Amino acid sequence: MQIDFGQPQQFHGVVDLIVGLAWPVTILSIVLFLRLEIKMLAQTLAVRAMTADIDIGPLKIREPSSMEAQARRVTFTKYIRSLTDTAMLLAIAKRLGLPVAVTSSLARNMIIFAMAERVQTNGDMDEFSKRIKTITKQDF
Amino acid sequence: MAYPKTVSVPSSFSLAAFNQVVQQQEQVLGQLVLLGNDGSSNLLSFDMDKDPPAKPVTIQAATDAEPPGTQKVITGVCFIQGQLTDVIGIRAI
Repeated sequence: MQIDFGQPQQFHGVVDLIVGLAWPVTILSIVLFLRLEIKMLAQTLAVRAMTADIDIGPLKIREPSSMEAQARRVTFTKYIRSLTDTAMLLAIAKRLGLPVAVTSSLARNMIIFAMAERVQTNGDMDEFSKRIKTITKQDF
Repeated sequence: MAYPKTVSVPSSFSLAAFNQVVQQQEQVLGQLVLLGNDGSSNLLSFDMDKDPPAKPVTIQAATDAEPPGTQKVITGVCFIQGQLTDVIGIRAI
């Protein structure tokens, strides 16, 4: 059964066209109207993602490190704690893929924690040390 | 300003292994400031803004006598070999 709304036959195509275009045109208008705000929001989110110190869960220890691995971990920790060159700290943090730190103290803590998280064996330390050797110019 | 970081240690660890992990992490992360559990693992918090202490902390059952020349620095409830145990952390004076 077909319902007759009483519209003239020639307007059916126009009504369908308007119904079909209403949502896309509305969304496009909003995007165009708010384009600056949307751009600023995207930039803010990107900056937050780069600078926020986000942790998901605690560092999980599987087993105690061997004496040698622990000695290397301590050597690295002492090196980082004694490092006063902020540019170098930031370069190491960047090489390790860490968020951008606001202060050198924060960068230092993040680097040490990243090492503690990634290095539990000698093999882990070999890999870790190799990754930052072009910056530190030394093996750990 | 404190910068605490939490480490999770399996509940199955013996007291000796637990102590080894605590001391190893303290050498790297800084002073142990919190000792506890989340119902399935042990949780340890270290303050990374404090330099690693010169004298290591030793965890022992709270019921055991504190050795002379040491002082209690921390208390908590932890899993030792799967058993919830009241523990204390002592450090040489």
